[in-house]
Amino acid sequence: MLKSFVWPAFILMVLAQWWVPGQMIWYKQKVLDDGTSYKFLSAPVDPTDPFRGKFIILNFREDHITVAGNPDLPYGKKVYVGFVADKNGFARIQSVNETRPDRKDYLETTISFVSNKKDSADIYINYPFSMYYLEEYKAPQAEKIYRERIIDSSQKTYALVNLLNGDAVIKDVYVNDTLIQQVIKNRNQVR
Amino acid sequence: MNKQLLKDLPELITANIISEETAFKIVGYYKQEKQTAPNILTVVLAILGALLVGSGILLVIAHNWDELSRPVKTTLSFFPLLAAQFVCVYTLLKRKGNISWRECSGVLLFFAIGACISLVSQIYQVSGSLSGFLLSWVLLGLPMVYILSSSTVAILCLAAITWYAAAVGYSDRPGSIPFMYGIVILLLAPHYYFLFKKRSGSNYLNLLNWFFAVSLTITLGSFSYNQGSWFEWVFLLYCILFCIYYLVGRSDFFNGKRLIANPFLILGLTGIVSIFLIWSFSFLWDEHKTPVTTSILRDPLPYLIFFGIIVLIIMFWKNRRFHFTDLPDPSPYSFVVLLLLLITLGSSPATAMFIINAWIFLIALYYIRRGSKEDHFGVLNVGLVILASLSICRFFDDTIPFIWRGLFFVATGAGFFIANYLMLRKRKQLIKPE
Repeated sequence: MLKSFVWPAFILMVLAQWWVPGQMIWYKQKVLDDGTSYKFLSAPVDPTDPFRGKFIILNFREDHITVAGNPDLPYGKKVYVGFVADKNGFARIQSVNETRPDRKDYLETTISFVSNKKDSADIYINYPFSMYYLEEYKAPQAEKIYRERIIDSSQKTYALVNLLNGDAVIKDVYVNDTLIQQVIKNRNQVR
Repeated sequence: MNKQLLKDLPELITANIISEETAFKIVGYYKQEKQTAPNILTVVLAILGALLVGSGILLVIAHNWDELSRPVKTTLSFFPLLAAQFVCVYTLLKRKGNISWRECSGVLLFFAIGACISLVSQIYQVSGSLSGFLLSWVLLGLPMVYILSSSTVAILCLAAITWYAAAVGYSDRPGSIPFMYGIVILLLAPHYYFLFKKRSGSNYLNLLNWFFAVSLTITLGSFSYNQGSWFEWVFLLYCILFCIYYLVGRSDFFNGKRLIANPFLILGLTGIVSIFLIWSFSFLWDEHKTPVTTSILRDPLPYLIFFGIIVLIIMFWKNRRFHFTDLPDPSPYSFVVLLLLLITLGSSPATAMFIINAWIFLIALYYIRRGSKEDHFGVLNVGLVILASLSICRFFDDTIPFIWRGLFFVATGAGFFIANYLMLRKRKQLIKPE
């Protein structure tokens, strides 16, 4: 009996091993192809994952919205966030709702915390996209570049993110409209 | 093959201790045993090779090749997976009876799964947590434990799921309970049961025992998360776990085994003594407070403590030889002492600390007496080491006057010499010819 289960079980296992990364690719590629791009101003730092390698963590500046009244939104509650581009082209939070909006370019995420004031409240959200993977040697340099440029307020670091039906994919990270990989390359050539 | 015994055979025949026929039978027995047993060294080296290759692939992938385009990287990410799956197919078709092939192909595929998910995460900038990644990896790799009968994959799954549980409970989302850890342990249980029943002497069973005992010790804290209001009670939960380990370690199954093959006894005794040594200091007693009744029931900790006590009661009931022997072992009852002290003597730390010290002393005394009774140097010195640990802890206790601390040290040191000397003399007297 046990012998007869081996091949069907093996085939099922192999299918699952292809399906899991396959569906990751499918969803993320769809967001890249059909999603709307927003620029999120950010502040990267450089940690390591033992399996997935080097990445920079992006802490986005646009992390809250002020609303009237004191909404009942506990930590971890699922919300849908709509964005709009400001005059400089950077994303600003437009709305935080508990129901899915009619538009396609929204983000499904969770509440970080709510700071209640007298007649208003600041709603802080968690960003589900915060890791940007880079080549091993480039990640520490990317962090260094950021640290050097943070002193100068005219320098902008931002992530270009595609949004589609709640899902998000980081396309690229830029420093003053130049790809971060290119900035590292230019810097190494100068040396 | 037992080379020393075979070397001694001619001498034993000459001395008329065994006959020539018996000597032939002994040689025949060892030859047959050698033929049936797989070459352990080959299997170990093959598994080590597969582990190194697998880890190497993961590291090469972790580098992240920026120069390659997204479609190229995506295609390449499936290559290690496809190759490892082919090796598994070959093993299932042609080498199913070969343990080295089964274990190696299983290990390779296990690492290839990790590599594939890692690459896709890199390429598409998936910001998933480490715990989520580890869980997907384990669930996709676990079927190989049964399909290829691979115990190494079972050990890898156990290691990865322990990491997952620690990440969920202690770092990623403090306060979350890693329930999937329990499910994966249940999924691995049939394989463990098979080894326990059919290959009770195998090294894989010993390794799985070690990994499981260490894994549960690491993860138990993540299941007992509470609001931080009665953190000290987690020690009681661990004390219960170590008492359970201790009873398992002294069960009939482990009785005849080597000490290194009995992780439950080693971890159980070390854990019990360590917890008592920690509570023999005043800092935890100063922090200790009885929890508010309403807040108790919200946390999983009291339920786990209750469940642990029930398990222990059942084990004591089934293991009656612990009850009334001429030399009762106090170690497995340690949880009762700690529980009673935490409930009743929270407000008088001095008395509680005195009882804790006395209890450690009692455990040490038990091992010294047992060692002496069984004429076993190892057991005797376990007792003396416990006593020495107690003295070292008291060395740092500035509430005890120097003179008392000094005398206790001298007494412990002298105890080492006297106890070992007495036992050596007893042995010499026993082997002295009449």
